[in-house]
Amino acid sequence: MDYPQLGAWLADQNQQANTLLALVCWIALGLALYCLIRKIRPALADRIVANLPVLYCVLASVLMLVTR
Amino acid sequence: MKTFRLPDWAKLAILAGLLRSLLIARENLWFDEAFCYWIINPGSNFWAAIRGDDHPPLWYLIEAAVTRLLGLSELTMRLPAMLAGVGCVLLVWAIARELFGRRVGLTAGIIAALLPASVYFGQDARMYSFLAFCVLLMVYALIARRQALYVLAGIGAVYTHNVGVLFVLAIGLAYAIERRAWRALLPSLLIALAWLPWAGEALAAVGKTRASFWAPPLSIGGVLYPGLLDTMGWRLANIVQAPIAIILILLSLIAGWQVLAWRRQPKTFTLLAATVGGPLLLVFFCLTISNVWVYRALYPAALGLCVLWAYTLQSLQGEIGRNVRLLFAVALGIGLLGHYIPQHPRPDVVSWLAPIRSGWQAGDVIYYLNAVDAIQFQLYAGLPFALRPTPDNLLAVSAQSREAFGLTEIPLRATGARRAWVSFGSNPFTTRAELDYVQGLMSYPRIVISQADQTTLYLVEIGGRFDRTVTP
Repeated sequence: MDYPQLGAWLADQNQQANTLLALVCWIALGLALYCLIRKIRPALADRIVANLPVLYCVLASVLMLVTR
Repeated sequence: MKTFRLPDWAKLAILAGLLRSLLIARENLWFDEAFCYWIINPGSNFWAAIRGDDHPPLWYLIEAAVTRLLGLSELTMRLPAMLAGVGCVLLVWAIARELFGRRVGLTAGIIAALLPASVYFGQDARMYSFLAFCVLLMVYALIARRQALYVLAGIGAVYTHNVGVLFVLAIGLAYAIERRAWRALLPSLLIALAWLPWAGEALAAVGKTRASFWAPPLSIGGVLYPGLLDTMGWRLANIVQAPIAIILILLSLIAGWQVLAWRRQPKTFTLLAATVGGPLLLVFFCLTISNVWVYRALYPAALGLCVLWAYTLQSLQGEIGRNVRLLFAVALGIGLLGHYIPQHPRPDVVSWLAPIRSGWQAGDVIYYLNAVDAIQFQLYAGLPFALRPTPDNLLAVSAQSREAFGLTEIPLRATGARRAWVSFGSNPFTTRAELDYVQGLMSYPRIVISQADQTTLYLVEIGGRFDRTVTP
């Protein structure tokens, strides 16, 4: 059976799944980087943790602009 | 003076009950719920309808019993899911408390109570809340070493949803590994034995699903997606989805890292089997046998995730713990708000029907172009209707189901009606044949009554003089 609009929908679903995968990869990378910083520059790691909500707000704002 | 303090389970039951009963009957039944209505409707052939569907009968039997007792309405149809939802919260609390103590138990219970998808499933007249209840009860029963309860819950799971079989397999194997004894598989074998009478139907359902289903091809991102949908739901405004996903991913990655240390705690294996094992088995099934990636059926795993999150939130110390808890609380709050003020609500069927009711004349008919529209709208319409003859399609409303529901399929001219109200909603599953049919309808005298989103309501003159008393 022929579904003229199905291809576009599947592509959209695929893109959403890929966006989520990309987010997971970036956050995993961020966490790995944080662990490294904690080993070599503990003071900087503490500052990152202290400013986590601010960092989050910046990141969330950027994402909201991008995905608007 | 001794003050009366509510026990934790009572506080959680009240919180979960309040959130799930709030606005429970506000929205009309959407397609899947309406499908359930048609199955349990006294006018339908119940067992023929069950055989026409892909799901086992237990949930429909529960719905039928409750609605026979209390009457048919949105509230009564969603009531069993609400009660199962409260039960799920209590089981999440009990499992976490048994494994990690009171603080983690209470945190896990609160998360499960507030989780937007948990509230959604607790207000949805579908089987997922009850499936999660059965799966969590299996986990709890094994942790509490109550094997008879495990068998009972397992039978409940496999007769509620076919994916329940995979959860039984995962949890049963995990229990055998935990106990390091083959004998520990015995209770699961009893469940398998009880499932045998339904096994043929379940395998047939896989075949049917393989032949016609809407699941996109599986990808790594697609495998991860239920982790977001089954926790935060799908009613959130698009703009906040990614920011909330960040918090969940962050917490889940930290939790995943901590869980690696649980390999020395065999009692956690059954919980991990429900949280990770079940979904992995479904991935394996999709890759090797048939792509049936039904993310709603993985909702029990999302509730298992609540325990992992609670453990992590309680174990993170100092400033990082405070900040992660704060971010997670914000995510839950926004998610819950998104549930009650949704960007993607269930369709407002009653409003859709309003112009038909106001313009209705004797001799009219509502003509549905596909079974999906008929199932969703006709239960609220209660007006003469007919359904365009359609072959089985991707949305899998089988000919057997249509017949069991008494959905009469006749060509438009054969209805004998003078005027037909035709709704056409374009969606990804609209067939070319349906588009061509709508094009053909344009040759009749017609007026457009309303247009909303991608749905158009036409009034079509079939024979005689066209009545223009209805104004668009």
